[in-house]
Amino acid sequence: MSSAARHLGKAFGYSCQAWLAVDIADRFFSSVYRTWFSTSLNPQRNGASSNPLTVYQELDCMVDLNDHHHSRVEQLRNRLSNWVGSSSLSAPDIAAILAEIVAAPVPAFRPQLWKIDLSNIHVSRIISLGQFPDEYQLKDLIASEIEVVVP
Amino acid sequence: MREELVAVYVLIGLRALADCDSAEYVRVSDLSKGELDLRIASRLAAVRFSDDLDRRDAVSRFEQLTSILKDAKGNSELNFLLRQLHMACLQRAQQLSLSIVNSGAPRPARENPRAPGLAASPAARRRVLSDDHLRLGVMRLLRELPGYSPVFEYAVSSSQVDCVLEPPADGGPAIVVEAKVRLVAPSEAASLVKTLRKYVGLWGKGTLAVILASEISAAVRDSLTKEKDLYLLDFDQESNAFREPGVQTLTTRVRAAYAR
Repeated sequence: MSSAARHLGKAFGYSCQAWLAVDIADRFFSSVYRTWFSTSLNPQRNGASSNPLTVYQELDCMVDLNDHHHSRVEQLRNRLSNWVGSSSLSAPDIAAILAEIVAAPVPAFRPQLWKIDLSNIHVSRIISLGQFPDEYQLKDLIASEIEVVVP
Repeated sequence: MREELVAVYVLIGLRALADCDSAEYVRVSDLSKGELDLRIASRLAAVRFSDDLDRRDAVSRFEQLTSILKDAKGNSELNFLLRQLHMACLQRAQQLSLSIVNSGAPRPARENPRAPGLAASPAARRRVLSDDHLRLGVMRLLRELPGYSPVFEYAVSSSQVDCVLEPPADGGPAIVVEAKVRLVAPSEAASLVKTLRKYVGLWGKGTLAVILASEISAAVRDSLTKEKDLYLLDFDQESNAFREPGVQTLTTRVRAAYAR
């Protein structure tokens, strides 16, 4: 097997996820997570939105201050709504989840920092998102492939 | 019908996003533009008999999308207009979804609780769901049983019961609770009853047993009808309510014990 670790020359990937995204995946997508990651915790050449450490700090601060005007809240609500709307869930489920996302309080976006063992991931599962040099996507990550470093 | 419109609006918005911000689009969707178009057409067909204003608006948004793609002058204008349309459609979907939920309309049964082709749910997910089910169900029950205190995962020797509701100092029976999100097989119910009987025996005479479940088959209900001092509570986690009067029978019994 050609592992992602060998392919990328890195043992681990890092990602930051909002709790609400994880919860929706747990309840409606059989705990299969659509996840972005980078191969270092603080990739200097990625933009702020693709840097796990920066995203963690930003979400953590946002939740701590209950900053419901923060633009990241809107961005996450929209991104989650798009993801759910694009899925094959039924229309009633989509409508119900969208309402949940829109009404979710700021603490629902509290961050989780994930560590992904890339030696267990086949290279064919990795998609390079292309926007930044160290930003990849996994569409089908499962719980056993993740270590939640900071819950 | 209105739920279909929510889905239509999101899809039209996504179709616009696919052309104006492909990097963002691949973060949220695997559908090709062709697949998106097909889905939009299929969802619109599902609401074709509706004379609803929203339906007409959704159709008009889709036509607007086609027109932008055809007529926009230059990339800047195209991207600007598509982004505007994307946001307008997404916001309309979000507003509609809220109004559906706030109108309190009964939610149709879930047709497709899991996306097809995905792996079976791991134990972690089951544990989370079942833990939520237990804790939310018990907390809802406590609103009917003031003074009771819950002890979750009550351990006795090498095993444990999901929860014990300890009675207030002024009396009332202890209540032993086992929770199961889905209770379909009578054999599974029989095994729960066996566990409960063991703990009821430990707590002494008068102790009541409760099974807290969410999806209960008729066969299970039949198998439990003759069980003494056992209450089957059908808890709906989404509405945070018990579905049938089993809880009333239980609270009446507890109050009667107080009265004595």
